[in-house]
Amino acid sequence: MEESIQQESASEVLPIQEESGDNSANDLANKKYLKKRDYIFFSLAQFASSAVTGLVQGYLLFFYTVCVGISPAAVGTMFLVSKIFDGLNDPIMGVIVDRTRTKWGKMRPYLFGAAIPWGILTIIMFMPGIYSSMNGAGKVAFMWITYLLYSILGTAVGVPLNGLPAVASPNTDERAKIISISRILGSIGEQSALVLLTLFLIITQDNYPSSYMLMALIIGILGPLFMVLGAKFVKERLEPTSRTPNVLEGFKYLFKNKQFLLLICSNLLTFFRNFVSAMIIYVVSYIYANGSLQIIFSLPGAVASMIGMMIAPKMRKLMDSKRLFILATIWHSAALALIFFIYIIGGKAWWLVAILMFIAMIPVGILNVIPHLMATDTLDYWEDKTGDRCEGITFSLMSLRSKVSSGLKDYTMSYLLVFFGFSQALPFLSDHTPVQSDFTKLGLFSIYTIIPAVLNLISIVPILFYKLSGKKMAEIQGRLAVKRLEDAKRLEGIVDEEVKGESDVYSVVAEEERKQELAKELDEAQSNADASTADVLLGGATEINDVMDVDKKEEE
Amino acid sequence: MKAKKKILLLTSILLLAVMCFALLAGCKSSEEKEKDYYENITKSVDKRVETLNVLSQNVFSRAWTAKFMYAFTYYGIKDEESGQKTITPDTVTRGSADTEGWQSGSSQFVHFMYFEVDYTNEENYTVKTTTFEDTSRKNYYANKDKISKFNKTGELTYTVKDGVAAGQLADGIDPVFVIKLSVDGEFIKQNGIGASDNFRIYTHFMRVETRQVRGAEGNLITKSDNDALAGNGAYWSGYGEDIKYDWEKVYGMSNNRLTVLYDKGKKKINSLEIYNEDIISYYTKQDKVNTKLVLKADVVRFHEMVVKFNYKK
Repeated sequence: MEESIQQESASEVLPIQEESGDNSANDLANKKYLKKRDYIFFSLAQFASSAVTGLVQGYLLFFYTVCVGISPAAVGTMFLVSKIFDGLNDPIMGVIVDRTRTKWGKMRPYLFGAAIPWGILTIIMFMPGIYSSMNGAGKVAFMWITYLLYSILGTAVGVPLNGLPAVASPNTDERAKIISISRILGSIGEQSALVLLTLFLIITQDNYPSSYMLMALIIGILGPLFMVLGAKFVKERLEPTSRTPNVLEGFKYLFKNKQFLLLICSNLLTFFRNFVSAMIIYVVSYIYANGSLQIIFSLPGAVASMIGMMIAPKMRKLMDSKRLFILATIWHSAALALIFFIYIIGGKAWWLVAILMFIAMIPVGILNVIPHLMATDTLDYWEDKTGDRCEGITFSLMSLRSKVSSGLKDYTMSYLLVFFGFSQALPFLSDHTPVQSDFTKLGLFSIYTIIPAVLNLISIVPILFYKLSGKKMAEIQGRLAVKRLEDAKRLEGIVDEEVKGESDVYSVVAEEERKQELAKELDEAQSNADASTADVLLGGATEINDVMDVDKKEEE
Repeated sequence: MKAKKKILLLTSILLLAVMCFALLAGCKSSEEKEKDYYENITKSVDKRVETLNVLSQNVFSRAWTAKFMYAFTYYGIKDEESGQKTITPDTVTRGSADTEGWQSGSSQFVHFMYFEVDYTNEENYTVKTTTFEDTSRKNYYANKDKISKFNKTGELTYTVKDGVAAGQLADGIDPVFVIKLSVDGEFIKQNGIGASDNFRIYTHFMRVETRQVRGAEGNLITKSDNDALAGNGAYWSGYGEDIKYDWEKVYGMSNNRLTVLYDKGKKKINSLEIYNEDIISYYTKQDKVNTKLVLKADVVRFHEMVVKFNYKK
């Protein structure tokens, strides 16, 4: 009986032992871990998170400058400083995540705790009634306080959420798939603010302050709900490494992992790309004088971007991530430049611009997926080199990069608006849409097209030095698969030798809680006859349970 | 280690104290801040008027041509009598606490004048004008590029040769005179709200904005008039972005904006834009639900003219 338990447990831990050694590493690397519900609930969580960030990044600048009446320069300065504040915030959060050990894992507890306050604060930021009683200085102070709090909570949600695919499955194809699907849903989520705004503008008959408030209410309430559901249903299956880094090591990681550093530098320089979506509202309001065109300009772009995300995994099979990044960037820039030149020679019709912009936005979808895959590649590269995995720090720095980019985008845009002589609406008039000068209108269209077209090409430079090509990654993945197989065997060996006390992998305190959690999962898997639940490392823990029980019986 | 922490803590407190002291010392009273604000505006406007005077002299010392539109919008009610369409313009009134001011049914109409100017010198130039009226209910932007579909009401030529004028301009407007007036800056120095310029690689961009406030009799209220009433029926309070108007006393307002693109050596103007908004205060319902009449302010008409100069060699 005892031998059969050991044999069964061993087969669950190492289902490939019976096969030849050459195939076992590949089988382990290609094993499927994710269920349908992982894809669904993680994608919904990304949808919700993107809805919140899309609302704030896409509309807060306009809300502050046009509805509340704060100067673009003041808003731009606040955005830039708050993003730099994230320079401390994000890596600290990454280290906190990497040091976390709970029965739910290291990412999920923060989603449970921070999502709801984040939603509440988002609603508060878009309440026009709060600002009406404040003078200019009061509005600016309130803007600073609420936005900084929003940033802190956004970090507490964003870092673990983005790191979840890396620990949900060790299978890189599954990671690519879940990232791709969730990015598509995320892209839809980003546009949800636009759809809601259009709907509420119709209902309120173009009352912008009320429409913004209603939009924030819907997103601020439903968003946290989806994020909590995502945290509940998506399990963390990859065990953390034994070493827990400190804060300083977290910051140093960026400079030690040169491939990751190059990736971050390149992504930081992609902020010019974000001008396109942020300028749509200015282009439709002041060049075409028709606010309802906003949905016509935005949705095709979102659809094109989704097409890009869908084709990204397929294109990745034709060429590696590095080449794909460069190709997509050049495609996007060339298309934007073409739109600008057609405009200045007379092709100003809105429908022509919208059609051409559809083509320009397809590579954006690819560019939304590829950097995250490249980040997981740098994680694997680092694990291969040093044995350490730092998902928390990696995705906290990716999140930081995204926020600094967003801040640079808002700051630069605010100053470009001033440079091109943008006339703000007068706050003391009940309904004011100032006519912009011809020079300003050309400037607005330039910020929409040719400026991002030229400056986005700079992001290619760091990637030229990036070494993790397809062939190199295949070698690394192969070595890691063998290493994980050896780790699983070693785990079996450790369990055989120990009866009490702490192991290298689990602490005694966490062990009991983990056994209960795993017992539940094992029952579920057995009743569903789903072998993927009992994966390598979970299977190892199950085996500990069996072996310790067996040992206890022997002692008795 | 403990000694180092103490030194670090003390140094931080000292630095913080110095920063706070410096901030407090640099703080000014609100009156001083307002005074500085208006002094800075006056200086910046004066500086740009100087540049405009130089540019104006350079422009009118050279030969050039220009084709441009002068457009203005207004609110009115269209009547159809005997098959003819007529528009009763300027049907917008202030109203009273019991009567709505801005008449329902008013729509925005647009009037255009098209100019072709051939300028050699002050004693030799030709101006052709054509007037268009838009009797549709479409807004300004929808029709701006569709002048061929409008109804022409006249086409006139005004010629000055050897200093002798002949012909008559539609509506008596001399576009050359209007341009001269703008760049000479006579109208732009009242109640200035700001002036700015930006440097580009080949061309400078300059903007001057002014605001004029009017009382019940249509009389102009200057800043000194308002200051004299401070605390006792002032027309406005605050300054800059915090300015608040008492619409019980302010009946109207004009915002004027002059934008000039000129070359780096201040030798010539490339383009010039004059934009004006006329604002009135009027009684209207508070919102779609609350029918109580309150005072609001909106743009009732605006004027726009954009001139691009083509210099002859």
